Amino acid sequence: MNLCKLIKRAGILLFFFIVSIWNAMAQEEPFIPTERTNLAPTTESWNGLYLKLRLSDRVFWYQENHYRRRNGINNRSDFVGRMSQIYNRFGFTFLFTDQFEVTVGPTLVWNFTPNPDNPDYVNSTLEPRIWHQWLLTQGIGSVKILHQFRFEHRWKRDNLIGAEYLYTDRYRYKITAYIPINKPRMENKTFFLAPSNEIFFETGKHIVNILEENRVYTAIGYTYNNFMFFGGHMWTYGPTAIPGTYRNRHIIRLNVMYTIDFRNKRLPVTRSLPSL
Amino acid sequence: MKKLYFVIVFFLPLVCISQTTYKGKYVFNGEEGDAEFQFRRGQDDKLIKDGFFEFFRKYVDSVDQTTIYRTEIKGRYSNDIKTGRWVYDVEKHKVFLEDVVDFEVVTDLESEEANLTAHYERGLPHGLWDYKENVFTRKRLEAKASATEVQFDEGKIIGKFQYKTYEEANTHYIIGEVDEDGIMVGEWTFVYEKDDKLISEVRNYEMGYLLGLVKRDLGNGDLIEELVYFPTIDKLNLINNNQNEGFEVADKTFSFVFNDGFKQSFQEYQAQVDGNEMMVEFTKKILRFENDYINSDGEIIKYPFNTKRFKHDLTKEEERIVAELPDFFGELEDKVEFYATKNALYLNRGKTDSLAFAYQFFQYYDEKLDQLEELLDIFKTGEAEYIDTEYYIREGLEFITPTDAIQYEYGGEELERILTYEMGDEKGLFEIVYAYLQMNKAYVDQIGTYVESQVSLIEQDEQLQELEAGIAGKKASVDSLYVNYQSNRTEEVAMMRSLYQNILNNEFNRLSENYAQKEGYADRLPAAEKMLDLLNEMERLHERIGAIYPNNEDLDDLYQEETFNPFTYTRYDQRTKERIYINGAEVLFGYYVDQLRNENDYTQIKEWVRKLEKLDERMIELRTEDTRRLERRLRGRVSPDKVESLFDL
Repeated sequence: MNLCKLIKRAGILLFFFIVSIWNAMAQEEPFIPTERTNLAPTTESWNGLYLKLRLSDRVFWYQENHYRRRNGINNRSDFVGRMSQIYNRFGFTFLFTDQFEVTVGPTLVWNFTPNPDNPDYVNSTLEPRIWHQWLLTQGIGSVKILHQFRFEHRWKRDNLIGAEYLYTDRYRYKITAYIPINKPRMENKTFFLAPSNEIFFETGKHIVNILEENRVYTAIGYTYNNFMFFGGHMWTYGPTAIPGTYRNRHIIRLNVMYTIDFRNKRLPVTRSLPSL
Repeated sequence: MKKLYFVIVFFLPLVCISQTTYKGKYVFNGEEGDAEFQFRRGQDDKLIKDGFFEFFRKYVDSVDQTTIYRTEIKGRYSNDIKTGRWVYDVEKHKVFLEDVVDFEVVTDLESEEANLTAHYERGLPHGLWDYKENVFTRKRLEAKASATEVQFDEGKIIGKFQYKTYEEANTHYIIGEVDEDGIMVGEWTFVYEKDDKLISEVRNYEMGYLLGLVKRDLGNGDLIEELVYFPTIDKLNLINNNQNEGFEVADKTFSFVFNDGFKQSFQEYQAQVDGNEMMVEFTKKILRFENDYINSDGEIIKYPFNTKRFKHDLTKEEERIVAELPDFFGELEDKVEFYATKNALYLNRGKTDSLAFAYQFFQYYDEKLDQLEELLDIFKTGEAEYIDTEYYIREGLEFITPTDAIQYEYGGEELERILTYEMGDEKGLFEIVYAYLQMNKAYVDQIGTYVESQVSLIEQDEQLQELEAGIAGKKASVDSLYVNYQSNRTEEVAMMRSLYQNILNNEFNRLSENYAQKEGYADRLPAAEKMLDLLNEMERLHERIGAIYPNNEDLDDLYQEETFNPFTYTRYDQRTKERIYINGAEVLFGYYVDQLRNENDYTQIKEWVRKLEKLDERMIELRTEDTRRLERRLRGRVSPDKVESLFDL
């Protein structure tokens, strides 16, 4: 080793020593933000297919498949610049009554790299979840209100190479209103408005702020036989890892919902569920 | 003898055992009562009365419950025919409620009683008969009538007999004699009351022939009537002297009326009436229980004693006329009566002079033929050869006239037409009557044919008028059905209006013009009937047509099934079997309705209605059938014909 290299190394070591001393001196005073910082909004595009397949009078197969993209690195408003997620949710639903059902199942999400050009990131990471949900419905006149309580237990890691899986529990509450426009109630061939709001809470060892996010969604849709077409704008708002700093997103969502009844077809009309 | 007793004793039980006694309800001589009698079973299990017979009937008048009728009969039958002694007792009691004293009912009674003791042999009256009639009035029993010791011999009265009735002041009676053959002979005396006079009528019979009679007023002895039947006496003398030509004593016997060619208007006939009535009264009383003598209408059909007549020879021509005249006259009478009572002739008699005359002609002839009834009865009863026709026409035949003047009214005027009859060289009653009736018939046929032609034309015209009036009325009501049809469905109202326009307006007008161009009843009638048929058809179909759209709406409801939307958690009806519904309830239905709306032939309307109904039925069937294969074949646009075929319509 020549002398130049030795001096360089010593200098680096000294720099780090000084910095560590300085940091140690700094940690002794935590950072308390004095004002809220809102990051510039980003844009995303979520396209989803929802399936609900009726297997018996009370049992359904539930499935969601989403293709999600987000804005490009250099263009926050292009909605589709980068791949974001491929999102798959599955489950079995048990319909107790028209007003209450429970769903349990797995979720499998592929999270794509935030910077495809950055070699420090893996292209995608797998995020498995177990989720369960209680859904309650109520009718107020012609409007249908849904109260969705969803709980997720997820294992997620960052796309950085070598990042560890972190476990969190997620608590979600969404309230949705289906408001028919051209019919007296939600039925076939109905145009509707469907505003909703979902709030996310998260807990885990590494979680500092349990409030994860709030999503406000305003959609319009149309029912047609076994299909429901649904689309709209969602705005999310929530904290980041930096205290006092919040992010928000504008997401355009387009969804198709499909249901099919696998019970013995061409049954005579039944007007109520068989009793439990 | 002992052996005979032994046989009788031995076989008697068997005889007794073979007979049975009936006791219960029974009808005797048309009266319901109770009977007890012995009988046995004969061939084919027929009941044969054999042994004693008792009949009893008691009947209380149902209206005022104060009159009691009693009948009691006792006798014997042998092999189902009367035999031996019979006793008949018939009573009528009328009770009058007068008072109630100390809770005791005070009544008065008026009764009538008839008692007959009769004897029979082999079912025929034979032996002494005794008849008594009593009345109980003013608390006294008094005799009313009697005929004692009337001797019957094998159904005929023989010997002397009397019949008396006791009236208030006098006794009326018949005294007479009958020979061993039941023929009236000798002097017969009748005493009866007429026109407040007590009359004695004495008749003289020889071998059943009435030779004369004398009537006197017993009050003052004045002669009322004296009649000698000289022609009868002359004929009997000729017979006695074997000088009878063309006539002889008849083998058969006759009723009480001695008739040797007497019209009812002849004195010879009228003189017998009163005495004969007494004999009829006597006969009906004494033989009321004998069905062979008195029929169910109470008329004498067989007489217990008889008169005789002469049998006259008939020529071949007369025999032919005797055989044919009853039927000939019957046809003539029927025809005259037909036209005399024909309503159409009566109602239209004022239309023309000829019809007015024809109407009156038949009224006149209807009465005229009644005058011939008496003469025709002679032919009908087969007594033509027992009538002295010379005698019969001694005063001429009043109904046979050379002319008939028919007076009638027309147009407010009294008019008259004369019908003439030209008799030929007919001789004898029968030939004259027959020839005259034939001339009558000729007029009847001629005028009848005329009436028929005229009245049928009038009837046809009236029939057409009635039909037209019916069509007009029907048109108004059927039009109203379609024009005033109310519905919330505009397309349904439009369909009804189209049907009205095409069928009830356009096609009906076309038929109406066709009818107007026709002439003659034969051509107009079918044209009118076709118009009426159109209206009836549209009236009949109205309700079915009105059900077309509601049925289609029902299909809309039927082809819904409840769906649960698992995303919105709502239940609602959703179309099921959409392809079937669209092709059936929309495409094919629409096609049929269009055809119906545009149809111009009323006979085809029911065809389209039928197709629509069949489509509806088929759609209902398909709702519950497995139609997956059918639905696959209904992919894309399908023509109505193809849909019909796929739906098996």
